[in-house]
Amino acid sequence: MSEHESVNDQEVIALLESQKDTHITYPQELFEKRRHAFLHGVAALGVTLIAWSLLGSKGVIKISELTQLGIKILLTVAAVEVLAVSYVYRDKIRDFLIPPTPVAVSPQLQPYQQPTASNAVKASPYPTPSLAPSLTPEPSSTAVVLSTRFAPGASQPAGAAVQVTPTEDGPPYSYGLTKTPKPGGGQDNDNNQGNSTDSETKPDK
Amino acid sequence: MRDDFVLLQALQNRDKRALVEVFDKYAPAVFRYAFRLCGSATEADDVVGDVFMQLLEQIKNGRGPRDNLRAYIYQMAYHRIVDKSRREKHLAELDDNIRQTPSDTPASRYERTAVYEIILAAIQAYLTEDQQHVVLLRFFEGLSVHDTATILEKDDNNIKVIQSRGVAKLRQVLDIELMKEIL
Repeated sequence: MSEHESVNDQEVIALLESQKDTHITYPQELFEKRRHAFLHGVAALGVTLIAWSLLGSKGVIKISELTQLGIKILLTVAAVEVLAVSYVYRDKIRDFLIPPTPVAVSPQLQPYQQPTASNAVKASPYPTPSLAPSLTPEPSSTAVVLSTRFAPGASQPAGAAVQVTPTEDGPPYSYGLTKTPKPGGGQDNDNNQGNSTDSETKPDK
Repeated sequence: MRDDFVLLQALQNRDKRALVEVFDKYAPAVFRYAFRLCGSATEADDVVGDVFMQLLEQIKNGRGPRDNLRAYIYQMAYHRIVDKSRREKHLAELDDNIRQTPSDTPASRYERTAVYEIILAAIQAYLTEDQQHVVLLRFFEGLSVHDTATILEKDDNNIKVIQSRGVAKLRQVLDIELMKEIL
């Protein structure tokens, strides 16, 4: 900015400031209406504002003092509540803070007694059978087969239990039993197990 | 009438009489500020009403001015005027017939000085919105740079730049020598 421009700017500023005192009046009618509305708004602020303003203007008590007083009252009430609750539950608090000491149980020593005839163990010459089941099943010599097909000529009804006793020769209906292969004998065929011929099933004599 | 510091203390204690005193002291100033920018007594009166109703709400909600009563009230007026100006600008864009030329503003009813009318017309016609507010607040209302910065929520240096550009613009459009002769 050149010096000439700066001087001109100062002249403009002086000209503007000379208009500062130009009289602009707030029209009286508008002003009165607006003031009346504002006073109505002040009155409508409510009882709270009036109470606050009365207390504040008369210097009875300051808002800051009221705030501090309120905080003190709240703290006092809270402290009294804590004391009352702790008094009511004093037993539980004591148990919580001081746990009950465990009573030490001393082992009682029993005097040694000589075994007498009454409490002596009676030995039995026979072994006592155990009731516990054995894990290893004992081999049974009999097998129970439920069969819907019965042997021709039999008198038992279908579905009845048939007691089959395995023999050396192997009866024709010894289901579920594996025959011991004989040396020189033919191999069993799974497909015609039940219809095998005598030459195949009959062991060599 | 009590000064601003005493009024501020009374407002913080929600003194009802202090509220009335603040209205009597600042309502005419706000009216002048708004009138110079709006150019209408009715619109300026609306701005006054909005500003002081907002002040009541602030006091009611426990807020309000804390340290600078004058800047606080001018700041509320500034926001109202800017809102009104932008709303009217939007309407004027919709209908150009609404736009008023500076020469036929109602300001002529209140100002008899020709120089004042020319200056005001130049401010309204050639300066930006920020420049208008800065020039009016600084030179017509007599506020400091810092108070003006507070009102416009800007930095002090920013206000100086805006002021400098506004004055430079007025220097270009105003015939200073002619006005000196008139005055």
